[in-house]
Amino acid sequence: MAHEIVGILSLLVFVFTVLGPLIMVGGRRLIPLPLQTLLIAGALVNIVLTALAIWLDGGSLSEMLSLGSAVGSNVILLPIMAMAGGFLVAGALEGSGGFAALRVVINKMRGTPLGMAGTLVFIAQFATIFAMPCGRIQAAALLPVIITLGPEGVRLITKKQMVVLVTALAVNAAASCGPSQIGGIGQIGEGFLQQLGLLTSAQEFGIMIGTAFTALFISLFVTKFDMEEKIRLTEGRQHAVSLGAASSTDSAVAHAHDEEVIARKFKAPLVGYISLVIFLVALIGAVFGLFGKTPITTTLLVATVVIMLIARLSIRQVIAGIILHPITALVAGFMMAGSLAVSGRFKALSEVLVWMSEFKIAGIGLGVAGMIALFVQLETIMPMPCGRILAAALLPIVVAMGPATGWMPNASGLLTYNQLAIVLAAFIVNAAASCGPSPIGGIGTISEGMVRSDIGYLRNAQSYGIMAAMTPLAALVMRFLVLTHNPFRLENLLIFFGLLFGLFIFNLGMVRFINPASFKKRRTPTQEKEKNLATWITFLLGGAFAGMVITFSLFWPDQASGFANTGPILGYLLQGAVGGAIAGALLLMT
Amino acid sequence: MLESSAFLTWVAFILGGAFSGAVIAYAMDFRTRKGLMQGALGGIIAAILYLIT
Repeated sequence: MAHEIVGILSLLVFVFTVLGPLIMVGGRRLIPLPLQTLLIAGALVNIVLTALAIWLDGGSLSEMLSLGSAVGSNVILLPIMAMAGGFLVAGALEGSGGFAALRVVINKMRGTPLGMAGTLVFIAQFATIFAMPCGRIQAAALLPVIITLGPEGVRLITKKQMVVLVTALAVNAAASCGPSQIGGIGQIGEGFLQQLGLLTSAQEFGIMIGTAFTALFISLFVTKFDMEEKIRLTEGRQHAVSLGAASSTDSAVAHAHDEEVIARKFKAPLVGYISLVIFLVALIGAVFGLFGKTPITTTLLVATVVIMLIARLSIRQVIAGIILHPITALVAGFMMAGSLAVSGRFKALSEVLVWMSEFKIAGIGLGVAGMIALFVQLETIMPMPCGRILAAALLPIVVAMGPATGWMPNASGLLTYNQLAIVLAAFIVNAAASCGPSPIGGIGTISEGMVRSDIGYLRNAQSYGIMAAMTPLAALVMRFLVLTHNPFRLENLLIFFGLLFGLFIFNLGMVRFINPASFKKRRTPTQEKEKNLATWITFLLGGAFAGMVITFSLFWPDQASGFANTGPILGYLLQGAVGGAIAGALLLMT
Repeated sequence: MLESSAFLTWVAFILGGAFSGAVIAYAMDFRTRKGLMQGALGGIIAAILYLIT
């Protein structure tokens, strides 16, 4: 009995620690503590409560004393070490001028057939190409490029282009820690599935398209009024030629002057280029297994040492690359997960999910499909400054929906192994990206600082990209490209590309047409209401469609690929649509 | 299973890259044919690098 009560209390402690910091009262956070501190405090409270329950139930002292080590054993070292290795190599790159070399290369791209448009697209997608264990690394590396090219620099990009670019970059950088092969969140899921790299391409595809959806959303929903009143970035001179340049000669001189300014800003030593090449060799070698069975962390450390020797870096310069925030987030998340495990709450949480899937009003309920469509969006609904915080605590619950295994004997068996892999890909990319729109120190707040908008102004665009594209596309690619036994079968090809383009057309059409042209003029309070209504419709419909795509990926029968026929697909689709629409509504409400 | 889907994965990434690049270029007001093509090219390069790294 005492265990039951303590179980409920520890669940409440968990919910409070997760939701508490998001609650704002009078413009200030209700609990102004770092999340890591709060999670560790919550874990300690859970341990004390569990010890109390053991005492009340007549347990032994040694049983109580073993609680600490039980919680500690839940802190998995491998992802932490891989992440630390990633940070060390990032520190070596920064110290040796590797990132400076990268900036020069990107700047030079403007002179190639890519032009300015292609270069900016490349910058927006860059973070996931060289995915680090934390997207803040690439965001920090690219900010000088954007600032220099922006309206307060040499004005090669306008204020609006800058708003779109930094929003797309933020969501891409945030999500990049999902598929990162050097300590990304995805590796935790791949560990559960015991197949390294299984979830990578699905996440990357989702991120690539989600970045584009985010850019489109902010582009169409940022209004003239917002540009003037809410985004305080100064426009500066419109063009170099506008500075009194009357002739083409003046224009050419002004252009040459701008290029000279840019060239002065972007310089890199030779050793920077060499260290960049060493990093790329290490990364590609680790991904493709060119160095045999050498662990990724070892490969990264060797690369770090080589760069240190070539660039004559000190240990202090390399250690400067370590960002403590994601590491402490992971440890705190693991500790909270451990405290929930010892108090028996994982089993209860998975029972809550089963209850949600069976709950009905007037014969209509979410079902398994609706529950999953909602659950995979959970991390963006409750966005933390680092997705690892909740991922570490919630991933065991996701795995508990799958088949029972030796180390998860109490799993509910709601999903098969293949279905679990799909859910994990969708959940993890959502979790990784969630630190983009987080108003409490997420990567998006860096972008908001750059364009000097209110905190949270860029959040909706990022949330939309994550919900409507990243999450469902990760599920779709997992199902029809990664896990399908016969991908070239005409039926599978038609379904995959049909759903892919269906998702594109549905979302692009909706975002384009729901947004009234009147928003582009100076808005009155009535138009503000119209914009809010349009945002709600977009999120509800986008969420519903995303839920349907996720559900279809999970339940479309294909015996050869291990997906049994478990019931009418239409019923699942309806459940998925309801779950997705609820997720869309919650995304706007939290 | 993984090897047989590799070709399709490349096709999907290149198509998706081109599309996402064009959409981002459009969102940044590069709405001429040249701008959209440059955006699509940037997207394709990004997609290929996604797969390689």
